[in-house]
Amino acid sequence: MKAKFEYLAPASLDEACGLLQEHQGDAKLLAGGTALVMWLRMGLLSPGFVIDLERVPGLDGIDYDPADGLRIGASVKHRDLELCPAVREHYPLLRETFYKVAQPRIRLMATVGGNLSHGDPMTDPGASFMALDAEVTLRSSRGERTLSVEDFFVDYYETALEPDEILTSVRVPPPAGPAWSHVKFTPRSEEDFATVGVAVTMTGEGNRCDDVRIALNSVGPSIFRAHAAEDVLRGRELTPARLEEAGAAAAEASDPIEDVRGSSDYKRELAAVFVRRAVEQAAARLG
Amino acid sequence: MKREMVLNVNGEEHDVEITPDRLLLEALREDVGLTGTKEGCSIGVCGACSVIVDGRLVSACLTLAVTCEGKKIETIEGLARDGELHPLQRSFVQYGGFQCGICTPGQIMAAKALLDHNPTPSADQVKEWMSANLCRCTGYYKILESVMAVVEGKVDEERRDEAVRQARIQSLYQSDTYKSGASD
Amino acid sequence: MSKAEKFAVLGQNVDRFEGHDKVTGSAAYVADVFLPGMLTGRILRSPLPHARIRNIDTSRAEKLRGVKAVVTAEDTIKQGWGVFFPDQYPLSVGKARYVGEEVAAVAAIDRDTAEEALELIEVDWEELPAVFDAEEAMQDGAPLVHEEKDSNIALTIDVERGDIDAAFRDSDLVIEDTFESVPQWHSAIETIGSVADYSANGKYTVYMNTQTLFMARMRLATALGVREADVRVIQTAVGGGFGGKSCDDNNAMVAAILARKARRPVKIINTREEEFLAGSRPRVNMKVWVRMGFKSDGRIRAKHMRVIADNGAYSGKAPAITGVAALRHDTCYKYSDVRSEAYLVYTNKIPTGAFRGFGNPSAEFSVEQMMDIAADELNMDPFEMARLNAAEPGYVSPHGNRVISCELKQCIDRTERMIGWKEKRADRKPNRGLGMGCTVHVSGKRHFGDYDGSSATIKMNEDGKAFILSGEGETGQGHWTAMCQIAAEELGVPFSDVAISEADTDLTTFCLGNYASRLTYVAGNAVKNAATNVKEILHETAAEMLEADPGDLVSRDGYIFVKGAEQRAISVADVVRGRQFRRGGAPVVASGSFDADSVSQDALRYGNESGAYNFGAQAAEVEVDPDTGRVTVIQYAVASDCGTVIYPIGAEGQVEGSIAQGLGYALIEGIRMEEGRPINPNFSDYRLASMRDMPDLVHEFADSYEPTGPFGAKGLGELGMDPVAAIISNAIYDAVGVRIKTLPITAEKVLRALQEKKKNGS
Repeated sequence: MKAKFEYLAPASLDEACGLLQEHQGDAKLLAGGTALVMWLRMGLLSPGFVIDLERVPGLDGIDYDPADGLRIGASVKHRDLELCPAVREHYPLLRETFYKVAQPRIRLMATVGGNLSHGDPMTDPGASFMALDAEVTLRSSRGERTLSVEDFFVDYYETALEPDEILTSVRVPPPAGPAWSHVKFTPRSEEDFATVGVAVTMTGEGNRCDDVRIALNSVGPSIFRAHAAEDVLRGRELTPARLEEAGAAAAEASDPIEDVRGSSDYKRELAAVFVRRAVEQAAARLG
Repeated sequence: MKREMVLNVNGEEHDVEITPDRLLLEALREDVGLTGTKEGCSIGVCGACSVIVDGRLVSACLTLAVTCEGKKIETIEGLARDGELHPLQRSFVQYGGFQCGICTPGQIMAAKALLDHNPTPSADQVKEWMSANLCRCTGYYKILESVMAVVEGKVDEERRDEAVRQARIQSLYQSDTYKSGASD
Repeated sequence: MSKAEKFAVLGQNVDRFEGHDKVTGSAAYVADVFLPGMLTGRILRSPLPHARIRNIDTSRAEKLRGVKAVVTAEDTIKQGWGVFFPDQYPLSVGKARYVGEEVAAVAAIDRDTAEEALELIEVDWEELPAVFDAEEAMQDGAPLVHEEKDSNIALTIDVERGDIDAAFRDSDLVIEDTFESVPQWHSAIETIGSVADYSANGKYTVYMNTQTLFMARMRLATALGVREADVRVIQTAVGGGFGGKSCDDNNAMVAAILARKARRPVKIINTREEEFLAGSRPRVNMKVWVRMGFKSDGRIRAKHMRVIADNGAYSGKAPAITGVAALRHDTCYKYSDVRSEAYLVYTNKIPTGAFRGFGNPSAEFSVEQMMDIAADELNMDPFEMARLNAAEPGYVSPHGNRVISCELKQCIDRTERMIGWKEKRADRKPNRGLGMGCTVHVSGKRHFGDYDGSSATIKMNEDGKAFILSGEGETGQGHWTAMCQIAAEELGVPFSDVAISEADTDLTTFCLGNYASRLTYVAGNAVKNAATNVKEILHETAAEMLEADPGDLVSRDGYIFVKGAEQRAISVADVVRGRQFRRGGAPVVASGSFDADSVSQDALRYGNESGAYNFGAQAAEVEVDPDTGRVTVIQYAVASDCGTVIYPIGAEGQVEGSIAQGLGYALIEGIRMEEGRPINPNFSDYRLASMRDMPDLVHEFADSYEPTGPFGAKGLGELGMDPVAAIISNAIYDAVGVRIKTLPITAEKVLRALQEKKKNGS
């Protein structure tokens, strides 16, 4: 059954926040539409109001500053982030990650804010933002707050967003070092959702890891950071045994569902394999 | 509740009266009467409903028509001018870039969106881009060749012999793989 | 040295007949048909795999504003229909037998209203025990899917040729194994749909995206209880068939029933979910046990095969498909002693049916792996073993298939060269492997009545342009183009001077339609015969006008010449006008028929099923990731023997598309089922390969000529699909030493097999 709703197109962020507050619980925000429109059509959502953010100024643009890092407006499309010269130069992990999301047509439609707000554990960007220690800005008529991406993801399609809040931007700190990696395992088709996705950032020298951040998608109810795996590696030499151990720790932390992409056991084993490979790839970029 | 609005399709303005849940796909096919845009999967995966809105390729099945007011919409019906086929259209005919044809409007619009922004993509870039449009008939080999013929200015060229054609398709698939990393 | 004749039009890459319509968006598919007053139909489907209907209350739905008709089985004649067993009804009679079965339907002014009305229909269900596994369904005491039958076994085949026990005793090597396939959905980008209209004088007109026009009409007439002539079926453009649009589903029936009740045209287009649930009937999944005996030199000595095929809830074409799985592949190699058993079994799942390959892919997934296993055991090169056993011209299979043209050995040689078999085997790389296999298919199959023919009429326009009337239709393979080429070649006119009709049961003669790789061969012969007859009329009149003997005339490039005096010529247009515009004038029109020289199989399934057989060999190179089980196809090579190639771009397209579907079948495609319910029936979870998933593909056509084919041509469409899964499995074994015997060959299965192998230290 198709949803019936009223379409609202606010012209300012304040107006959007006001509308969201006014219709709290009965309104959904429309950004790129790739998830929302599909869910509306499938009858998974039936809000009374759809609030289109496209005409809201200030949600677009990608700004880079060496001291402050990267600020990405929530309405920035995946494809624009992927092609942004500053991203290419300073955040190759983001470029690689966004390049791998779905396919170009979806990337031309889907927005960064929409992707994160949807809380889908199968999509790729969240893990890379987590590995980069990014934070999101959430705005409501009550005010504004910032939250790390790690804390933003709560559960299966559940985020820290309150019903009256809008995700307005993502801030990524200046890159800590040159070492990063992203792996997306799609054995059925390049266009598929990841069976497992891993994002890594690392600092260190030679074969020693000073600090590391590892995040995974598609292998748990939400995108998550593999703290135990990081602890195995942090401040240590990256020996094959440690990599195995880190992989095992990440597998332990994952809680994948069985679906057409594989059993939960298989995905857990893959989490180990791909954390190991991703760390190897990142380490290869250490100076 | 229905609202009146104007949709600019292929340079022509159309008055439509639609509810906010009307998809661009439905509005084009049923309100504007342009049925060249096809429905395939209804969830943005297959690309049969690909159209260009303000220069961007989108899935018309994931786009609310109400969000397209004031934007320029391009569909397959707008490609041929004065009865003259667009080079992509000629190429798809000459190089066999379709069989049943149901995905073809989407394939051609996708290719147009690519070439509008980058007239000289590599074969790997074309493959990456066109992977957004599914086809169940062709195995994609001749779709790739059709697009590359436009890129390389080989439309309307006298047809080459079969061995040369085969070697060419093969070479398109043996080029440096996109898998090594991102490309624009 | 080429066996082919020299042709004027054949073998040319002409512009596809309907090409401009398809690239401009103007080709009209069924969803593009809008009739005045047309309503939208929606179908209420069974949510349960097996349940009795105690009562259906449609009163609330009928009262909803905008609803014009609500129908249940009470609005039908409750006449079962089905091509082999009439076990299916347009709307459930008494009980539903699978999730998705049509129970009731609504026609309303728009989709929203129709869907709202569906929610107002109340069905009082009594859930019944259900059975989902074919082997379980064969056991005594299993729930009966059709209570009036005394078991769930819909069909049993058990034939033995020669002396199978003696042949096994005489074998130096005997191996046996079991292989299992899963349903594969056609996944045409266009779903099944129809627009039905019912006129006050009692005639139905149904626009359908069917690939078998007259069979669609036959079944509509049966289910509606009217004469065939009371139903007119018009083929719209068809957005992909692959067997899925060969009319074993209920979409058009329901539309017609609604249209009669509403007295307005009704359109029903399946949603993608409906297409998975109850639209195109997916490939029959089979469990195949095979035992094979070989002589030490590699010759096949004996084969015993037992097939258990999952029919789903209704039969459709699965009975014929099961027969093909049991018998067809014995035409590929030289066999003497074989036994084939097959059981087709009802279950409470979506009915399975015809999909490109028609049972042959399951058989080849089994036998082509057995050949590889045997080669390994005998320490033989698989190509050598294939050459040793390959069918040859004149071979008659144990089941009576008579091979006329056969270039299988040529295909094997070509494939070996294309894939670089010897070089790559000599220079092995870790985790890389090669596999090969052979394939056979038919050019039409005699199993619907004692007829595997076609007919066509050609009429000449006064401008000299020929128009072919044919009811075979176009499903996308390019048959319209090939038919026009054949007519042009025979008539001696340019390709641009031939056009062909849409398929319309009222306007064309009876045709069976598009299945069994039959059109180029069967319909091509009919068109060629019609053209011969038209040419005879043209020459008769031309002879009068040129004052020559008809026997001295030749046609070329739109002109008719006197042989040896070519300045004495007249255009075809002048001849047509000359015959028409004179006292007692008459149009230039003639029909042609063809019925293949095949026979219906007898009670013991003996009989030459097709007029011609197509052969091929293929090989793959794969790479396996030992840590994840991921299989990457590096290169694929195909050689096909389809006789004369009429329309090269179209023929190549058939090869390329069939390999793509075969690779999907081998590696990707499958759906999760829980208690007969498909989980996530959509294109996100049921993935189709994309452009960048395709491997490097090399292919060649054998130099070949089929004497009974039109200008030497035979079928091609399904051939390529059949052996792909076995070849991929063979290549994986070659790469990493594990053999996967169930489809699809997922990365997880490969990894598990590798782990098992490691554990066993083998």
